[in-house]
Amino acid sequence: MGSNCHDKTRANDHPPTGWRAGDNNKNNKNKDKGKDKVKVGWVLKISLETIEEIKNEAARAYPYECCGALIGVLDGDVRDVKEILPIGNERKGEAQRRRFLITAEELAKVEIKIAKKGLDILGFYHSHPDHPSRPSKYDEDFALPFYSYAIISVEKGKPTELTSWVLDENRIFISEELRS
Amino acid sequence: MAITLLIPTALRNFTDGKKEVQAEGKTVGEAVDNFANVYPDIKRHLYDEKGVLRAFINIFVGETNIKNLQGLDTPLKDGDTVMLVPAIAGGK
Repeated sequence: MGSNCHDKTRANDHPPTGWRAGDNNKNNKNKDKGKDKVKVGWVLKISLETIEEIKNEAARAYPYECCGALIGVLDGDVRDVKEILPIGNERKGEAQRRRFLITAEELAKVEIKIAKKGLDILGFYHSHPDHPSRPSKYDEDFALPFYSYAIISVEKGKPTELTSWVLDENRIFISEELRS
Repeated sequence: MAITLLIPTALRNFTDGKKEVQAEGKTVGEAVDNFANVYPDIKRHLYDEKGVLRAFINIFVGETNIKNLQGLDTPLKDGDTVMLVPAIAGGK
């Protein structure tokens, strides 16, 4: 899936806030400043059909943000997405143009539903209407460790690029390889 | 009371990859504390520096958020399933 693969680069560079996955390495963060960060082995396996489903969701929601869960199995370092589960954006009204929220109540329902199938939540997707498919500072501030955060850009109603990101140990988003 | 605690994928790094663990406690707070004592690395992700449960961590007993019950004082009975669930947010 060449068009969806890209260099593993840092999304941005700012002090981490909120929930810190590994804030014992702050010095390393400064040392690495200005360098591209490469993480080997983080792969999100996702079929072209599933990407198409995400694009359709994003187009339907435009100009608002859509969101949902990436469901599948963890196979070593590979997150194998078996299906997506669209979840209603719980942000209210116009806030949905630039924010999404999946409440714990909604996520609990998803966890219960997929546990019966032997599947796990591997991450989440959301759209960026008229905005690049790169994580914002807001995305990074609210991200949790482990999960893949897939972002689909929608330009004037038309879905374009899908990228996916994972927090590193310093709470910096690193892009991960997409593989079909 | 022996209960089962379901761990979200984001926190399984701290439970040796286990999806669920057994814990003991008369209340949710007690069970979560006992669990956190067995897996101490998880503590800072569940509680802030004042020892208060982090706002974006939600705990469910069965399908009910403890915010709608008695919070961490919610009593447990043998065989209850307790689930740690984060809220997810972001945007452009």
